[in-house]
Amino acid sequence: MKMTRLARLSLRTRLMAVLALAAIVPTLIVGALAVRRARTDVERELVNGRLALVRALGAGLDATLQDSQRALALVGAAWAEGGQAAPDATRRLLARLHRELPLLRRVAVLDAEGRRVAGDDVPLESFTGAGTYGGFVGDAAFTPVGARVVIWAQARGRTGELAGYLAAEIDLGFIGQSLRAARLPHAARLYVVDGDGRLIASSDAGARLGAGSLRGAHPAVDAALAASDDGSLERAGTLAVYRNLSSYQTTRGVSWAIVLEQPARDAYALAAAARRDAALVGGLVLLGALGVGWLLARALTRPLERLSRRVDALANEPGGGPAEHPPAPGEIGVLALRFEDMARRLEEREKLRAALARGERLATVGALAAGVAHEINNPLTTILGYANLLLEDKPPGHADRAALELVAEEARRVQGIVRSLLDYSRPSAEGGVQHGPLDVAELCQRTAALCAPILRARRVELVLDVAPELPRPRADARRLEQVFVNLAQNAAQAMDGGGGQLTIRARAHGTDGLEIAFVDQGPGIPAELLARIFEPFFTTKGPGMGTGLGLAVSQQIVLDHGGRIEVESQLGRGSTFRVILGG
Amino acid sequence: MSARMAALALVVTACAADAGPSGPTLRLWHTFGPEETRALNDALATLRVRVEPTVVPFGLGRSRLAHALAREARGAECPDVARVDATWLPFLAARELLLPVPATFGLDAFTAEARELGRWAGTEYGVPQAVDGLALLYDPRRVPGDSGAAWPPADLAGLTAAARALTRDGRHGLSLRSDGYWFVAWLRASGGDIVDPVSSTLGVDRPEAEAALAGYAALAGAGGVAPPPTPAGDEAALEAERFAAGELAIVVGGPWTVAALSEAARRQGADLQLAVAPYPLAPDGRPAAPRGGQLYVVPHCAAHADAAWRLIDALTDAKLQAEWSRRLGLIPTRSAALAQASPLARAFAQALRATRPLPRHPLTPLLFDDLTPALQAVMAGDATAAEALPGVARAWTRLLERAHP
Repeated sequence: MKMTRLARLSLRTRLMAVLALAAIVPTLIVGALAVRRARTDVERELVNGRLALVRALGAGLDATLQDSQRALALVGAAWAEGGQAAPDATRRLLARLHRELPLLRRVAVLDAEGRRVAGDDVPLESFTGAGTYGGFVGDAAFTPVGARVVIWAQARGRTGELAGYLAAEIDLGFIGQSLRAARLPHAARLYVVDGDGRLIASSDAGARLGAGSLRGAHPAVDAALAASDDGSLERAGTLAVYRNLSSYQTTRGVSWAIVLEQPARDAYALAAAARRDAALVGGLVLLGALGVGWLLARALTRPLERLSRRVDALANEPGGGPAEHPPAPGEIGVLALRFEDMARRLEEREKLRAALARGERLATVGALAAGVAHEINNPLTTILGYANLLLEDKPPGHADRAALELVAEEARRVQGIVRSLLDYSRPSAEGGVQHGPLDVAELCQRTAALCAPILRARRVELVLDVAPELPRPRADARRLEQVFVNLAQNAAQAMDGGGGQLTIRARAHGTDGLEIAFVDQGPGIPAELLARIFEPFFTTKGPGMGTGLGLAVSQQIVLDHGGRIEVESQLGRGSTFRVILGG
Repeated sequence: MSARMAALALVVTACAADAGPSGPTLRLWHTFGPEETRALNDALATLRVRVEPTVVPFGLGRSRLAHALAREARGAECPDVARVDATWLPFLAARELLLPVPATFGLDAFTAEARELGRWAGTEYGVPQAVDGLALLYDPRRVPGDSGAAWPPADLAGLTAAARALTRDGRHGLSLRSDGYWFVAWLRASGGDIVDPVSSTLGVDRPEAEAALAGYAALAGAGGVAPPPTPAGDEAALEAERFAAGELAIVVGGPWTVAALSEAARRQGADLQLAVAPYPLAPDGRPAAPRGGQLYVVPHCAAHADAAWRLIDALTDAKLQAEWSRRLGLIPTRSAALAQASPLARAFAQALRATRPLPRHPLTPLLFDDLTPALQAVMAGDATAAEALPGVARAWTRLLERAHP
């Protein structure tokens, strides 16, 4: 069914479809895949870039906490080794710790039982004693000025024995400062949440820290706190990348997470622009491909269309008029030439067939006419003879003489007609054709001389244009003279009354043939009559003005010479009869 | 009508089947490592229940959990399910922070050794997720090789001899962790012990402990059979890298070590082949290596206890346990899963028959805070065993006095 519908489409449309399927569609598919691949790559790189930022910040945060804890452990070791017995030494240690690590807001020293023995008043709610693998980061606590956390380090001496603990309170504002100092992508937000999903720090200076858990409401926070290390998430128009900080220290460390969020629209702005550009280029390429395809299809189908028109012309009109030029190039051109050749052959065959049919018909008419002429000729000779005898008996001025002269004249006219009929019907073999080298120049001169009276009477100027050194084919000059005179007289009659010019032009035709054209300036012959002018008894002249045998006889004579008569005529511009002999 | 209605019913059924997780959101705290966390999240994604997991570093787990559970008035922070180390259970259960496992749970499907881990004072509080313990991991193409050592070693002397024979050509025979948990195996195999919290009897103040510690430290570093001690945080990774590179013949590790060794081999493009042998027994024939495991528990403050037990049931499903045994090297706790476990996991389970649980006491997880620094001090050469162990004894005495005032 689909194939039928496809077959109904024009060749150009089908060619376009084929081009689309063969070239454009694969191009589009490949292009789409390339765009998709590019998008995937860009998005992956984009996520990787943000992950790198999050990792770097997360590693920095982890390192800061771990370094602080190590510093506490080192100071704790020093205290365990000697400071615990000397309060001044403890104070010096703590002072130095404050100096070296301003991050530590308050530092306290506790004994092995967890009692504060020196230093500042550090909140001790998060103290857990043993079972912390040497150190511990407590829960974040929130105050109106920010988030704080207490970190713990066991104070152990050289032998590893527990002497006490060092606790330090850290203002987590440094995290927010580092987040805000980061060169964030457009519209991006960085923040850190604790294990309960509470906001510890944010690149947004106005964010409310510790206001409540973001878990459940922020998919990125849920994903980050559940993640084994890092990852990304795109949800509700927001792209998030995150790092679970517990992955830095799976045994100690913190269960916090750092998250970078950015509206997907901003995050993928570059990718979207690239996609738009790619789509634009793709569209232009598609349009270009369609245009080129259309031109190509047109170039392919135009010769076929011309061929189709030519076929229609040939079907509607024999010969189909002049063939189109120049012929199409390539195979279609060859096909067109072959087609023209075939049409020409068909036309010739048709002409031949028509000629044969006409010839048969005319032969029948000729035979009939010859029989009739033969039958008429004997009584006519008798009539003419007796008329002449009677005229001899009648003296001039006799009352019967005029009638007898009319009888004799009409009898002679009938005799001329009969002779013409016999000329037409007489086969060439028995026509007494006397072939010899034809001097066409002389024949033309003789024709001019013979026709001079009628041409003069009709004010027709005769122009003889005979090329020198023309071939001299063998022909019966006497019979051809009849043809030439007939054609010249017809031309003069065609220019009846109006005068004009008759040109008799003789040229070589082919290698050894002749072409003698009789060109008049008469009114021309209507197309519908052209096909019939060589038929016997066909005449456009008035009654008694012509027998309609002149052209038929002329054609028969020329055919007897192996030649042909061609005629071209244009209404209002005259006619040209060409006698072609040999060649 | 019937066809259309049937199609509609099918769509409705399909929609219902495709609907997202239902029921309450369950909070899950765990101390899984990165690889295990990925496996957990994959498993949770297939369950039709909303879970809000939170990773807690292992070292913080017990303290943070105890802290959060003790503040159960702040119900929002109380997890519904927690995965805990087996040594934490007595600590948590003794404070009545955990719910007992419902009788309907179906603990009979678990192995007896695994169930033992979740029991405290005759009540089962934890559903075993995995059993673990220490054993000897080695590449059967290299060990015993042409070392001439008897394998597997029957006792510590045999292990030391094998390690010494395998130590050559830039390769160490054995890894020795500067971590108290690992030292417990060595100490017990040497004839000593750490502590009996129930009877308040110390083992670290005895000569066997001192000799064991000194001998242990002497094997690491120059002239020994083990690489020099490395910072605690890097030990596992360094050990795995060395093993994968063929620089280490025998690793003392648990099932969790398999994932790290596999990852290191993958990074190095090495062809990993692992075999497991039991850790040498104590002179009295008793197992020396500690046996432990991981448990799922439901805190007393859990808001959705029933759903939590159902989640635990799903997370200990035999099929999932078998999958995790292949993916992570974990040893299943369900008998059915153990039968489907990977050959290595089954071999590990077999090797763990030669292990003995750590003391079932609330103090147990606290003991290593003092034992490990002492061990590190001795291995680093900062102190002798004779100097370090008394400090451990004093610290543990304080703990015991606090536990049994």
